[in-house]
Amino acid sequence: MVGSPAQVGEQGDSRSGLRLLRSGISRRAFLERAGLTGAAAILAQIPGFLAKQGWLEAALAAETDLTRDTLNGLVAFVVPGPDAYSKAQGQSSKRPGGIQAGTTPALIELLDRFVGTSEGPTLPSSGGVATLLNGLAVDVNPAASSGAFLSPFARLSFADKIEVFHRFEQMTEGSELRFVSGILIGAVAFLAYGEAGVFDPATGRLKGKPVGWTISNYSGIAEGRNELKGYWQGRRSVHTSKRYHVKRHARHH
Amino acid sequence: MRDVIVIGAGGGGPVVAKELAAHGLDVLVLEAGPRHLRPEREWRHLENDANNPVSGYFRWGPADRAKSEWLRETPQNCFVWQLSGVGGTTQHYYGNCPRAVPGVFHGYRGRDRSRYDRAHEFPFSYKTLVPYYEWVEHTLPVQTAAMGTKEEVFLHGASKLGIPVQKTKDALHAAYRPQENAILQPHGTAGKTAERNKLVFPKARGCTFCGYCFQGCFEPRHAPRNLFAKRSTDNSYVPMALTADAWSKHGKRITLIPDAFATKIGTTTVGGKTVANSVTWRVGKTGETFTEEAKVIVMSGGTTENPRLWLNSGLPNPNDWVGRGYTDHYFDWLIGVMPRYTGSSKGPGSSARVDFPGHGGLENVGLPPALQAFSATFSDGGINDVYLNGHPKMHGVDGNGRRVGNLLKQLTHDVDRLLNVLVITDDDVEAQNRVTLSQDLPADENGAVPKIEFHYRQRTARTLRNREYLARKALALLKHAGAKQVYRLNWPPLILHVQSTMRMGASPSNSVLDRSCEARFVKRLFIADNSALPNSLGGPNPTLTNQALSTRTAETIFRRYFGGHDYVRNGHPVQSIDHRVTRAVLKRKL
Repeated sequence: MVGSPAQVGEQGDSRSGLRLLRSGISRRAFLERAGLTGAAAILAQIPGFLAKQGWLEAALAAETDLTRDTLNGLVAFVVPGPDAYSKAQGQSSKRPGGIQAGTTPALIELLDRFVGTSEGPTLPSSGGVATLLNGLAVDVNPAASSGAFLSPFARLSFADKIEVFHRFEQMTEGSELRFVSGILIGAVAFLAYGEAGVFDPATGRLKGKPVGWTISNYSGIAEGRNELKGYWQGRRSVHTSKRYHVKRHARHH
Repeated sequence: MRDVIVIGAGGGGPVVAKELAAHGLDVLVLEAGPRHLRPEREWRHLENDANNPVSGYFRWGPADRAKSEWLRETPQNCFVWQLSGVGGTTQHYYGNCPRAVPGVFHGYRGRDRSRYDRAHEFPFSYKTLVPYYEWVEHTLPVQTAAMGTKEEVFLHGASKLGIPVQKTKDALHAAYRPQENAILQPHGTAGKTAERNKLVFPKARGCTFCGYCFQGCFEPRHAPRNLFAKRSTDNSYVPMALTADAWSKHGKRITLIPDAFATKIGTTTVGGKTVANSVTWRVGKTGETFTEEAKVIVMSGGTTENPRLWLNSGLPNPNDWVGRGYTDHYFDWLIGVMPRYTGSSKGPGSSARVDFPGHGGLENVGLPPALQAFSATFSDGGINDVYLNGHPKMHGVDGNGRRVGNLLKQLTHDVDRLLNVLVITDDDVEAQNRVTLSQDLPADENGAVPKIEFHYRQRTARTLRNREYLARKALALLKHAGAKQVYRLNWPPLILHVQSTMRMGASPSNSVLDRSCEARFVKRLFIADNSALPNSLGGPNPTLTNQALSTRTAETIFRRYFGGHDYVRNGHPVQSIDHRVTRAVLKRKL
């Protein structure tokens, strides 16, 4: 989704959104005018948060490659594999990980799926999340501001990435963004171990075996399993105890 | 004018609809979400396709998956897992049907009575509800769960806790047992093979042990809808309500309208009292709005949406308890890494449990890989023990909080060697945990959106104590079962067992409903779903008690407003798997 011509071309609208926010218009009124719904409305709280940290201009100027690079760093953090992002953080794996599972595009789609258009998006949600992670990355380790990769977050060690989330959770405590700092890692894990990366929505079929099934030794889908072991102590039914038995006079309904 | 309009076709609404349709009333059921009429074509056993909260076929959103999901404001670390659609959240439930613990009812005299939330007890006795439990248990039907490997391993661990096996429906004391589940027991080839061509109805009947309760049950293949194994209301009460004329002498089939989001309950004033008399709804596909009048209105939209609709309708709230008292069983989650095969990804979601009345309970949960990975990374307790967000380290476990990176990969390297234990806390009703209308987020097409607040780090001392007690029991169970390692996730609120935001109660000062589930401040308006429950039941999963209470509510409506009589105590219900229902389901292509 991010990187599509429509969204990249809406930088101007993003800035007009920023002007609206700064003009004192309420967040609710702004969201109404932006036409944001669902998760996009929740994630639309990110720009205000970024503005407080002084990171909003950087977010609006960010290229989609930076977003993808950052989220690759996040996906490798949650489910490492044999890729460069995993190796850079000092924690990789010979077995495939989240990046090989196609998690990054699935995550971007999840974050950006319902960006409104009536006033133009404030900022693609994936870009907002990426800016948050990068801002925190430089706070945690200033040396991450330059080096390999476009993204400071992707340059961090595994331990520093943990510290990013420690601060992310702390600084959002009591705010509406606490939902995002809490759920982000779980969302990545869910996508990495599911079929999103190989699912063809046009046919409803899989284009290959999901990486998550391989790394969890999952046997794959079936209509049933040879798994029935019987009944505990052979008991197939139980009834109301004598203490609570209610006398009744049988009468058919 | 209709006799009754039921708002919501989830766990409770179809129960009222079926009961009243059986007695010949003219019932209209409105459902905001989709109706999955052909699940074999519409659903798949794929986790992201089903359970992605933004785009999955099981989400809180409109029928058209190309449209945005519906918004809730959740200003804390949490996840609300509720579904729209005919069947509601029972579409993905595990069918677990334990009865509530007797200690949470009025008149309980047990020696442990002080262990319960006495300030928010049921306004009648446990024995009062037993005939309604039995009615629902027969209708669905509820049956003793068959065992897979993971249940054998779990119950083996539970048997070493020094507590007995429970051999009745009632949780009288601490005990372990197979679940009483609304899942048809396996027959024929079901549970004995993975070969697709052998798993077709009627060669296979009942649960096939596929492992996809959470993605919707359409097994065995080609079974009539009312004979699918799991008794979610779309497979049980809804088919019955739609065929009431076929199996009840005076029955009248209901009218069911999906994609119809109720936006307002209209009222009039009679004798100085506010009386509900109409419902306005919006059609998702076209945006048209309709209003119909009814003699009685039943709200069954759920624990979050009922307060929303009430407040958006401008209905009276003089004691300010609409939306308050949200209980969620303050779940926690422990994962055991086992030395041998458990089959954790196979079979029903949960078929074994332990009850500790006065504290709550534990149940085993089996998951396929994406949900397993989510469960291991959803936490309020930090990452890999590096930080814990202020939570104390639990003694005896091998890790606290999320597992991330190679630790996650190691933990999940064989999903069928895990054993998950869900901690289900007997949590207190607290006024601070509540639903209001969001002031910060914009209204959507259906009105101001709900805001769900859970002050989970400031729960009552009893709630927190119960949770810790149960976590220790879960650890002991896993160790007895042979776990090599145990991890405690310290989940934030996973708002899945939802109760009590429109609670019934004895006191007008802290309840919305009277002891008959009629609204105190609006006559002819009833509530029939989990939101009507007065408390968190002492820990047991809420759907069965919701359905028993909804049956009682239907009986009250029939008697109070339609000249009917009480019929449950001495009656005998028709089962949802009755051949008359099956014949009508097939004939009408339901």
